[in-house]
Amino acid sequence: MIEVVPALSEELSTVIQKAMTGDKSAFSKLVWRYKDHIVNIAFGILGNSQDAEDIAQEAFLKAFLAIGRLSSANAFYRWLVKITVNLSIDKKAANVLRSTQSLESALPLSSPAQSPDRVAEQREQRRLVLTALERLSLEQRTVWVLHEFQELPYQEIAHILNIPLGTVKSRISAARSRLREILAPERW
Amino acid sequence: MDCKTCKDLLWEYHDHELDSELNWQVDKHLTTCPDCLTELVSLTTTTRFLKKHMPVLTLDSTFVQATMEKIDLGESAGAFLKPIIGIGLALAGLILCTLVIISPFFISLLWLIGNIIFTLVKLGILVVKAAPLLQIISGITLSALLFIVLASIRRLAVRRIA
Repeated sequence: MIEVVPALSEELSTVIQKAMTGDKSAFSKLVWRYKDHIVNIAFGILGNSQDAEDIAQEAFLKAFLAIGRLSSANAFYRWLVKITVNLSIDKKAANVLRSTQSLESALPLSSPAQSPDRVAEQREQRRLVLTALERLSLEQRTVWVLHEFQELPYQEIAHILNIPLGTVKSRISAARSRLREILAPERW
Repeated sequence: MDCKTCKDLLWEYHDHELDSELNWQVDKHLTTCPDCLTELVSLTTTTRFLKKHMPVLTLDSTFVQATMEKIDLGESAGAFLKPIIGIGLALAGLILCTLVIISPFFISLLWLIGNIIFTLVKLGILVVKAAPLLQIISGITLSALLFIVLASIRRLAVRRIA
């Protein structure tokens, strides 16, 4: 599980402010800090580890080139997530047009230290989850990833996606109901 | 609280997104309704299953290095392209301005604006003392509009490159 992003510490705020002046070394600290959050948001939406990594890189590049226009350090994470979500949605739409890759290639590699049986079981469960997510609409999937996986509150998601709070709630609720429906026969 | 309302609120209850009053009401209902409680357990199980088995990616320092290299490349490409685009757009703007000024369309636009202002003056809504002033105002307004349009196009183009 990805840790919830904590409130900005004074140190982090200073790093963001330095990056806002074009300081690359400060920005590389931000890449280091947020890389896992960002790649997992992209992965949740895209369902493909390689695409997710590409999108994460693109999001950081875009963020660096436009960070000077950011109003305050506090807005950095929300803004970065917004860039990532928009890029991921565009990529997903393009992938749908080009027909998607096989799920096997989409899965990240398992740890080599685990037994083959355990690896196979984990792989199967991951495949189940990703297949279920594939069956959600892009809007439902995006909201679900931000809430369940990144643990962002409803209000924050509404701000990031620029949609009403009620829409966030209904999309999360619809996504969960659909996932429950899809996964129920697999789990019991 | 009835079962339908409770079930509608269960996800928000599960996410701790309800206000204290509603939270208390759902709590109270759950203590007396096994159906809703079963529903809550089912929701929680699904969420737990998904969280447990959703693959999590972890990136190492290679990613940071590759990203910073990409940023270096992107920055140098941007530094090279931005002035070219700026000059190109400025030239295009200049040509467009010239075309607009010498074309009959500009004259008719001026005539239209002039007519509107004339009507407003005639109706007493706008008080203008000298006719040449109208021309100056029309000219400035049009130039300002053109400038805004060109500036927006340039901004969009630069953003697209970034």
